[in-house]
Amino acid sequence: MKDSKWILLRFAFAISIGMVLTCGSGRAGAQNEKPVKKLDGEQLYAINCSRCHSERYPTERTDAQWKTILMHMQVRANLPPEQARKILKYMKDNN
Amino acid sequence: MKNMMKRMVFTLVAISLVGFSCVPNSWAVTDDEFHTLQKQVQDQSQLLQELLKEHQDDQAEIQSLKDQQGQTEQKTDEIKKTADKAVEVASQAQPVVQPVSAQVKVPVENHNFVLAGDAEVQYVKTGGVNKTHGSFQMADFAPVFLYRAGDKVLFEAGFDTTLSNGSLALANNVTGSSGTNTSFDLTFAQIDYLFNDYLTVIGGKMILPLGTYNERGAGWLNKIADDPLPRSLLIGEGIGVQLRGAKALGDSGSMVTYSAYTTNGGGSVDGTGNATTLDSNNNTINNFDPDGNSTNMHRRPSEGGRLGWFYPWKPHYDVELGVSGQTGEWDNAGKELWNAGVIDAAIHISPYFETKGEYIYTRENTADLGTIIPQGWWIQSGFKLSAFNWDVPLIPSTELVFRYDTIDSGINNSITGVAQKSYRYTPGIVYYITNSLWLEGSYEKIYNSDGVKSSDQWLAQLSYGF
Repeated sequence: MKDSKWILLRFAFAISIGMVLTCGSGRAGAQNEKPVKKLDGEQLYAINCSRCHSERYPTERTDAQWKTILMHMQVRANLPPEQARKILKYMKDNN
Repeated sequence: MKNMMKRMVFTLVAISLVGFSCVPNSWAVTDDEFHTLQKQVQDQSQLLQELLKEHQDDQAEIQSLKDQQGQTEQKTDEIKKTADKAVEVASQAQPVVQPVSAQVKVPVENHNFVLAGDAEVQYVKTGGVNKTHGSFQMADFAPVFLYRAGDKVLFEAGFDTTLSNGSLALANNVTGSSGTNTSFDLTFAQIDYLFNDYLTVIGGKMILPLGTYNERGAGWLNKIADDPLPRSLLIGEGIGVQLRGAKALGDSGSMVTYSAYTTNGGGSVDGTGNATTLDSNNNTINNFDPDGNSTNMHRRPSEGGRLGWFYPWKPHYDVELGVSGQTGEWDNAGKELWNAGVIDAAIHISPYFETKGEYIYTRENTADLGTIIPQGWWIQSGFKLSAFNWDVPLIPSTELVFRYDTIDSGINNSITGVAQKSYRYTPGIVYYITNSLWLEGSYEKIYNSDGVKSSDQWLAQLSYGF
């Protein structure tokens, strides 16, 4: 009985140590996570637009035309508005 | 002492004489050499005089420029004083030009209207059991009109304009061919209201989000000219109302997309709930009309929606999964239900490789055949040869494509006279003349069940997106 108690105690101690180490490393891992860099318009264009069609060059349209087309694409491709705005800015900055 | 001095002087003189007598003959200068040296000295003396004179001239010019600079600075100061005085006087003067009247209207260009769309021309040659001559079989002009009425409202409409052979009724109930017919189909016409960052309200005739093919399948986007076989089982467009939107998941570009809609739904060709009906030539045709109705012929409209998830781990490397469905009555009496479910998936690995596909399942309650299960699936891959970086003509602008699609109509061959199941293999090639002008070629081989003979088709298409 005494032996089994000691075995149990040792087992519980090992589990506790393991939990502490796991939680500690998780917390440390969280602290070491690098912040995700926000995607710019060019990257969002490459991610979203090239899925369905070939690249459309910014110089093909004027600023006002791109605004209308991006509104259409925001609805058709179901883009989050912030991403659509960034893509629009990229097209206008490069046309 | 005297004698010693004398002896020293005599010795020095003697040594000097001996030394001079030891001068080598080569040290002697000839007359010619002397004259040459004399001339060189004279030339150098002359050159030195010229340089001295040039230096004196440069010094004089420098002094003159300094004098001119001084005069210029003096004049600049005078002009600056005059300008400052003029500005002071002008600021104190009364304005003499009256503002433009508000009544005067100046025309302003409106750039809120955009015309986009695509156009295609095909050449088709069919073999096998459906053998035909090669011909330019279809021309399609599909304009899309976009009008932005402010920052939150967009009106958009698209049309399909196609040509086909005209027909002419002849004697003995024979139909001949004469002229051409122009068909004009309103593909979609909707008003979009961007209510907020998460919700867009749409009303009108809409392309329905059952799967993704219809929304992303414009002529200049399709890499194989034909639509996948099982897409004919689904309702493509419908008149109704839709709510849709997207929610970004963090800043990685990942997102969840959602849409829910209600439309008039599918229809019945003859109005009944029977699975099939007869056309004017007594051919058995499918009675379910997937093109939908312009008015609700049932007791109530249909409902549907799609939920999608998109994850890019970097540009050109992404995966998309979606599940969508629609349910509603399809016969006029409203007694029979039509249900559809679609699972769609797409993956991009590098800018060069993509694979996408859909599994389509429909469940159709009928009055005569009970519940039938029309279904099918398709998968399509594309690989751009620019991945190899070969410096050869044409190859970098070429993409190889392949599609496999299959369809099960759910109705036995003994009823319709056509194969219940078909399987099609389509290898193809796309040559990108420009980013929006494509030349596509494909070969389709169709195998059929129920002993129906196979057929094949060569198809070439020139498509332009504008």
